[in-house]
Amino acid sequence: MFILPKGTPLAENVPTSRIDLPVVLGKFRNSNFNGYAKFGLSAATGVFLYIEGRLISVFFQPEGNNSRQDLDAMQATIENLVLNRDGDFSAYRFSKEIAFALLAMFRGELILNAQEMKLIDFKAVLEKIKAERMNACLKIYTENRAGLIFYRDGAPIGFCHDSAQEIGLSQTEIQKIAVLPGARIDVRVIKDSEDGATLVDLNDLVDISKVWSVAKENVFTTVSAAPAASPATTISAEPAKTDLAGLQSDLSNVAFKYLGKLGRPLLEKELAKIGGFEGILVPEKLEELLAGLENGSKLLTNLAKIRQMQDAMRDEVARYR
Amino acid sequence: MDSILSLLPKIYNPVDYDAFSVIQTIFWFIAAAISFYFSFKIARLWTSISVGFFLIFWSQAYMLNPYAHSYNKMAAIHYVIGAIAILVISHGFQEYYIFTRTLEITGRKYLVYLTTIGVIAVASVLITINPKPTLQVLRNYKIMENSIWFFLAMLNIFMVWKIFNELRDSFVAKGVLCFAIVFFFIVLWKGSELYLQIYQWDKDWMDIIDFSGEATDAAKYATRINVAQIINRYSALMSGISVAGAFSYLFKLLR
Repeated sequence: MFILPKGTPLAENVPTSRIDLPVVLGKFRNSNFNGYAKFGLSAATGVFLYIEGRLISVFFQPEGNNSRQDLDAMQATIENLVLNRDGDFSAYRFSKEIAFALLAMFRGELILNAQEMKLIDFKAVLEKIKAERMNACLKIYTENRAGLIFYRDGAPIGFCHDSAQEIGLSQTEIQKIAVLPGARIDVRVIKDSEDGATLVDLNDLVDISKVWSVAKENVFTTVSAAPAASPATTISAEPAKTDLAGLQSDLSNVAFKYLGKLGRPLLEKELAKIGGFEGILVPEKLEELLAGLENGSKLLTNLAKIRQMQDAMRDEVARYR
Repeated sequence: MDSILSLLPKIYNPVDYDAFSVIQTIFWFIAAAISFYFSFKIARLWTSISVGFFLIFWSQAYMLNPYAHSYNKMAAIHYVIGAIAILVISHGFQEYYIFTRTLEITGRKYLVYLTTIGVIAVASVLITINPKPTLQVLRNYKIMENSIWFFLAMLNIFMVWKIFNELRDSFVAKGVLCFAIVFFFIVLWKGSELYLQIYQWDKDWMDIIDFSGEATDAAKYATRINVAQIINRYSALMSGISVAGAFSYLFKLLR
């Protein structure tokens, strides 16, 4: 069973038909994002994992087949995204520690592979993780259930399981899974030397914009991971940043138009309250922002104009999505 | 009917009604009704301002009731309510200015209502436990009220101007600026009365010396007293009209 923990949602179940991949990935890159973007496709799942805005791993898990990693996984995800426009896109933010532990889950060294729980000394495994200060991911699973434990420097930092995928601090449910008949365990470990700073940013290896545009132009041609643009032409990676800045500028202009000069700082203040500009693409966060803006705007203009401003902002964000 | 009237408290000093005071109070009533309605419907920051203007009406209206001159402690309490009114209004404008600089809105509407009621209650208790105010003491209360009004109204003109400068290009800016006109009339109204009181040319002082037999130089300065009284009457009326107008205009803008 393939499960992924859920962190703070930035987007959930957005139709992939509305996703412009280079733009979305550009946003993550520009915002020091820690977490992952998941593409739920018709018969597979693609996951793009970020640590501090760097794309450090891509994982592609087809149903019933072996998973693929990094450039292969990116290529497979893009091909499937172009062919299957009825998938869904979600993105979740995590702490850097959890994001690093997720890396262990995707491509850590497998030190225990599908071991039956009853045949191993589980306590000794935990002691080893603690003693060697491992950065690891434990997956305990049966045919119907699965749970994950994330370790950072030998200490557990989060638990999640299939029935409540949010990362929590309680291991009760995972203990229940561990004692189920046929329960097995995988343990994946990331080497100490592989901290976030030393990992390769896949964005630097592949020009995603180019791969994406080639894939869209001819959906029946197998795309290859195009090398990243040379420094002289790296401008091609800029549209995402420009677009994000463009949206921010557009919203700022809308706020100015309806509220005057205080509109801009008011918008910035409310954006800070929802955790920054990136959150605006999440519908719930956008509504939270607009509600906050409404409170301050009541001292600057009338309700009709506030509604017009909110609608104009929704339109701007929708256009951007 | 006579038997019911006999149960009512005795009127020791009847109130002299003049059309001007009645018209003025009617305008204050309109202003109070709009401002109080305003405080329920609009952003929290307007609550203090609205409550303050409502209290002005309250203290004005009290002076028209038949018992206004019969119970000195109640009269003193209402002079203090008048002073509290401008304190609450000034607090509201200061909060508004802070909002324009920090964009922070803090506090709750009910806290404004409760705090105002609490302050009035404390003032009432203090007046109640003290001796019955004489006419001189009542006049002192009036001077205290007018002084607070005069200086805070001037300060508020400055504050409204600063708020206007921050909001200059917003939809509501002109509505806020209207309050500068309101405070201008209030400065004239309260200032002229304070002027007469300081030089002991006010009606209350004349009533007091009627009993004490003290001399007055009012006749020597009849013209300036007359001018001050005219300014006082018309600016009081204009204050009520301008408050009603300012709130109506603001209501139209923010509706």
